Amino acid sequence: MMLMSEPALPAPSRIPGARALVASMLIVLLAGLAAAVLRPLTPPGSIALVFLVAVLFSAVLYGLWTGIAASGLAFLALNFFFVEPVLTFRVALAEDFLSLSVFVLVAGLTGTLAGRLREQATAAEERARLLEHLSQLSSTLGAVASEDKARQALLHCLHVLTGRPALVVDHNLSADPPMSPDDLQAADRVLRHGTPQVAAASGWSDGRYSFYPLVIDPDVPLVAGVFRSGPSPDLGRAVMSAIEQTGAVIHRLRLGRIAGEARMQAERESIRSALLSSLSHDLKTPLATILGSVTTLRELASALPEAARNDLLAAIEEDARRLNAYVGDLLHMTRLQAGLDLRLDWVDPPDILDAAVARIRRAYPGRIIITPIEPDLPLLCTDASLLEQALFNCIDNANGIAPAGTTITVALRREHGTLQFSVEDEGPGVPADDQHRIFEPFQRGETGAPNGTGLGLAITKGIVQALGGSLGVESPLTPKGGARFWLAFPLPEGRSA
Amino acid sequence: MKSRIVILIIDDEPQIHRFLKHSLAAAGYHLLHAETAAVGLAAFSAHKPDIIVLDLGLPDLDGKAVIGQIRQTSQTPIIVLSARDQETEKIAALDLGADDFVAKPFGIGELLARIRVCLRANRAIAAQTHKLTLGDLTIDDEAHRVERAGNAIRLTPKEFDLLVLLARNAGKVLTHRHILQSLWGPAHVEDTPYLRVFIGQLRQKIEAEPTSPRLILTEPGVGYRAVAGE
Repeated sequence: MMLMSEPALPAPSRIPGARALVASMLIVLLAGLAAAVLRPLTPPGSIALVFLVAVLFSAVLYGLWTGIAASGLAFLALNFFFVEPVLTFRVALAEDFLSLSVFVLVAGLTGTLAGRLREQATAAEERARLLEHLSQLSSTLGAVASEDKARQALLHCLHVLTGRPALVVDHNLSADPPMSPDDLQAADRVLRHGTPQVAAASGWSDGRYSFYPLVIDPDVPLVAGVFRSGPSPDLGRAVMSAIEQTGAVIHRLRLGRIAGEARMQAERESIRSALLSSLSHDLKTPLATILGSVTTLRELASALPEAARNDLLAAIEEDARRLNAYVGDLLHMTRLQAGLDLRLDWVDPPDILDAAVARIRRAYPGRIIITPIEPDLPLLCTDASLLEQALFNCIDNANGIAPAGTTITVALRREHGTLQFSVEDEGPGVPADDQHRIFEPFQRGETGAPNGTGLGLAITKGIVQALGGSLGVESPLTPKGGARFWLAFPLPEGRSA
Repeated sequence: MKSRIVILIIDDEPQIHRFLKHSLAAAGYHLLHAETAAVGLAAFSAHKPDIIVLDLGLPDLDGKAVIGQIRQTSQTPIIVLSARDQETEKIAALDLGADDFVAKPFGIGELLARIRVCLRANRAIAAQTHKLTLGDLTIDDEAHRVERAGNAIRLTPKEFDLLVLLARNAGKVLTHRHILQSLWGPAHVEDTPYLRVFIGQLRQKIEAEPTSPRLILTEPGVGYRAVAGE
């Protein structure tokens, strides 16, 4: 913990209160009555002992100064009422003078010692109380997640420590209840300079609070205000310790927040750079093929055999289509990010599956696709064309990953009160590390489709979320790999049975 | 002795191989294809190609690492294919020993020109001559003379060295770092503004129109290239 200079709180006052003085006078009075009763029965020396007991009581109950006052009072009473000549303060006999002197000495000593013991015990109790509050504060601070909570914990702690109101003031200088002008000035000075400002004694100024720096920060400094009171050095230390602890916690919270922001910023940057490099790659590669092929056809035409010319033309066509599909995906994605216009209607789920599969079959006639569909499925209220696109992207993704000749299974069934579309392939599978980010834009897995745009599954995710569904992937399905992508939509109430 | 020049192409895009196969064959070269760095390096040691065309974005190994491995044993020319966002990668590749680069997408003419320059430079290393030409300039390295149509052009020694370095590598890109290291030593490899000043002075003296140079071309962000004599 930070070391701070001794707090400049007002010196402690041990002058006894009027109550203690009156009480000790009563005790001495009682002793005097007891002595008067006992006088005929006991030797004169014992009278002094009765008064000594009274002094001891006063000191033990009310502390050092009360003990001393009681011993003075006892001396006077003893002298006045019990030493010859009685009812005067004169002392006639030499031995009486001696015994009175011894009495004063013993009573003073007893009062002092007992009073000091009493005060030490009180101080120890007080310290224990302070320590308990401080440890409570530090356990509260250990769990706080926000600066506000830390400030509240400090206010609570200062309040129970001092029994007076406390403040935490930031650069807006607002407080509840509002501060007096002198307090405002003091708080402002502490905010600016970071040095404590102790409230003047009552009557000297309007300021009622002492202010201490809580967080020294050029941008958002904080100060804590403690109501002017007469705390002991122990209380002063406890108040400073509470402020220091809270300051350290707030400082840590702020650093944590800055680090968190930096991390998020870095993440955004890395997504942006992945996006840029992917955009560049996906647009440049087909363009490179097209430009290279076209320039070859123009510049080397005479040296090219017929078959080579045809192949170059085919390559140009394929990559122009690829570019078109890519630009289409990009537009889809932009539209998804801008918010979708949903056209909801009741549709028969198998129709959607059939449409998506038919589109894939047209594009890749060689692929074997089987479509197990559970009978008697309820209707689904959804946007048919968007859902078809989401499912199509999933099947397209599987088609790109799975080796030629393997089977893709596109299934539809009820599952835990939802309607679930699933696309299962016999490809290499999705490594566990990639499963959480495979639906993010431009995240091609190591084993991903080399010709994909990196957007297909992101579009699927965007659509499924817009339609109120959920999606996921399970992999591997067998020791050899395989992956199962699923899209699930809640079934209408009452029809899920 | 090989009758045809062999080019090894290392690129992970099948479509790039597809058109290069036709165009480079039509240009009279023999081709070797590799889609990964591992296959490319194996083909390099097995077939000793005359020149390598290398894509920087390979799936299995960084293109720069491929250059490093090849340069350990051989000075075979390497032309790097790069996308625009790989600017720093490209410079690093050149500094590691790649001979030139072609940015994707490219016309076939550009690639063929780079290939020709690299092959010629490779052969010229053996026949070091002290008579050079650059455009309409003739340069005598031994006599420290530069002439245009019989008229001598006065150059400071450093300007002359800079001109000779560029002319000896005519057609090839030279990175800032490479030029600074060759002429001023390793302590000055970061002093690009310094080089810019010298290039400006040299252009004032040798270019017909220093503001639109034809002899010493700027490769933005990379370095300079003296025009290739065809």
